[in-house]
Amino acid sequence: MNNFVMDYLVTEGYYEAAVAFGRETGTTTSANVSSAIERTQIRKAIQDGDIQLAMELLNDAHPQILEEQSGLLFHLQQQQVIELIRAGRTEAALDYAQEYLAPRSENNPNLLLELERTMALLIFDDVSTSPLADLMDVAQRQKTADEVNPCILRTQLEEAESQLPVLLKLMLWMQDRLKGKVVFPVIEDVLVAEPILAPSNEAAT
Amino acid sequence: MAANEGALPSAWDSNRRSSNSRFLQVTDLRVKYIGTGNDDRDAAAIRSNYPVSKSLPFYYWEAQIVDKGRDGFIGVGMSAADVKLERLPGWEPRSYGYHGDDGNIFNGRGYGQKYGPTFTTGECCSAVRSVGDVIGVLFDRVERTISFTKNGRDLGVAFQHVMEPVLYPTIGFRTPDEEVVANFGGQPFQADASLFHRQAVARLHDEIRGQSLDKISKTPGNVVGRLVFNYCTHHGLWDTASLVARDVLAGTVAVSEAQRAEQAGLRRLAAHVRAGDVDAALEESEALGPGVLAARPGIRFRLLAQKLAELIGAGRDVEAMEFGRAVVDPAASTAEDHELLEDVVALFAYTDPASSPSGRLLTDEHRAELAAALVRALLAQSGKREFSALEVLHAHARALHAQLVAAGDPCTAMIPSVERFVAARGTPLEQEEDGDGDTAMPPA
Repeated sequence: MNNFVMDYLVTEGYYEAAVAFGRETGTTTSANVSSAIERTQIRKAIQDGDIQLAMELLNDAHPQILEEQSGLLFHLQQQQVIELIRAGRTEAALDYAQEYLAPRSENNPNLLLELERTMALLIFDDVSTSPLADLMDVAQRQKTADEVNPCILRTQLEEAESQLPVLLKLMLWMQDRLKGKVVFPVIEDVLVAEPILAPSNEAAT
Repeated sequence: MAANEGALPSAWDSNRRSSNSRFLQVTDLRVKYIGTGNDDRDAAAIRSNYPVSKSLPFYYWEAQIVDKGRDGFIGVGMSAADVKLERLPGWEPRSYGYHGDDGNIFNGRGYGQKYGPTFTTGECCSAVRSVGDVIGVLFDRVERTISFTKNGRDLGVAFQHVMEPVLYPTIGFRTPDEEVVANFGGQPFQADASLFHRQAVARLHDEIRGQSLDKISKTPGNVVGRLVFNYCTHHGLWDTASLVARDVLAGTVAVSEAQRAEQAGLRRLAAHVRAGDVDAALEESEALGPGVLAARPGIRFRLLAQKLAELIGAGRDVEAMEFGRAVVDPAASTAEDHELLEDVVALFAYTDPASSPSGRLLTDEHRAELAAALVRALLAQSGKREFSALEVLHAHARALHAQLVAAGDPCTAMIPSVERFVAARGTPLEQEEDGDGDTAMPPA
């Protein structure tokens, strides 16, 4: 299990936590450490709201990535607009959106929708009670950072998915496959993690 | 029959007779039609000696047309155990066939569906006996399909919803001098059968990796991050836990001081037991979980017995005898307790108790095991779980895998173990891909 956890921290780009975990458990990793450090720096910049820095770091390390992955570029620029609005720099946010986001979303209905939602942030007095609260939430930064990480891993031909989600997916798949065949306890909520014999399960036999 | 559960088709079954089996001349893998072949009532089919094992995710075999005979009315396919052998495969219910004269496929009916090319020994060269077409049959139990190949080329899925659990390779004849030789894997196949294996493995892995994790918990947010955080706090990895809380979970959770104190206490407690200092462990137990020992006399007795063993081990025999008489013996209530006490008391008889038959009581392993049991008791006392959620999930996954294996699920042949699947991140392993050469059969 320690290996799974170490893999998660390294793959997802949480280098500091990975180092602490290695120290506290004696778990080692064969992963590419410099890549992990670099991804951690980019993640940290995004989580701190410094999108400019994140994009510079990303461009230095992988000049082609933002060109090739236009969806990723759009989301980073969108995050930048959100950060400008958060900082109260409305003018700058408008300029930035006009220069970068608008041209990109013209021919893409999905991106256009996201652009509209982002720009709507400007008209709410209190965004936290608006339907757009999610955009201003720190979780949005996390979401953006989560999108960058696998993109970098893929360009480095490294595995983009860490092992823990694979464990959960395999567990879910096997659980589904057994349903209706064998009476066996089921875990409905992985954080509760209590295998329960579901009544529907029993009925199946 | 049970003894042959793992057996695979290896020859034609000439023992199973039908009214028309006299029309067939069988030599191991080779079958020749020697009847009159006047009309459909003279058709004769034969099947393999064993069916395809239920645990195989897929099975591939090939049949070479040695001689198309008079009209080349040859059917190649699969059939269930109770299918009559006086007809070509595909004409009977629960049988599936691909017929050489028209290239049509049949499933339980006398009329077919357009499917592929005809197969034969060729118009010009029937004298050359080895150049006939080779027809391959792929039974995919996971996808529940049957497909065919001709001379190594994949002709695509012929039958879907193939639900029969037991199927036999089957071949049928209708006109004189038709002759076929089967290859159940003893010879290299014409088709790249390992490709079918790789494709099947890739399909399964994609399906599993495509599972959505959106609904795995009622708790919103980064569930995997929370699992990691809980794992760290459960094991007292406080530095990691704090960093995971800050970086992974954006400060939505925090390490609580109470949690830290409890963990530190449990650690001290376990250290006392491992060091042989039972008195300190007893004291610490009461401090951490008041009433825990009263509620669990079994574990209390084990601790007292351990103290006695430690006293004897330290050569403090007089003290030990008094303690045993005054405290340990009166505390023994169950048969298990008395048995343990006898074990401990036996230590008195040896000058070197540690190397005596009861010496295991004084080993690090035994102390560590007792320490773990005491920690478990304390966790249970405070309503906490013994294992972190992640560890429960891992154990659950392993149990599910064992259940699927026991249920004979053919997919498990492609998932050797939970650990290997996860370590490969759900991508097919290289050595699995090319490990079994050209038989398309996973290793037994």
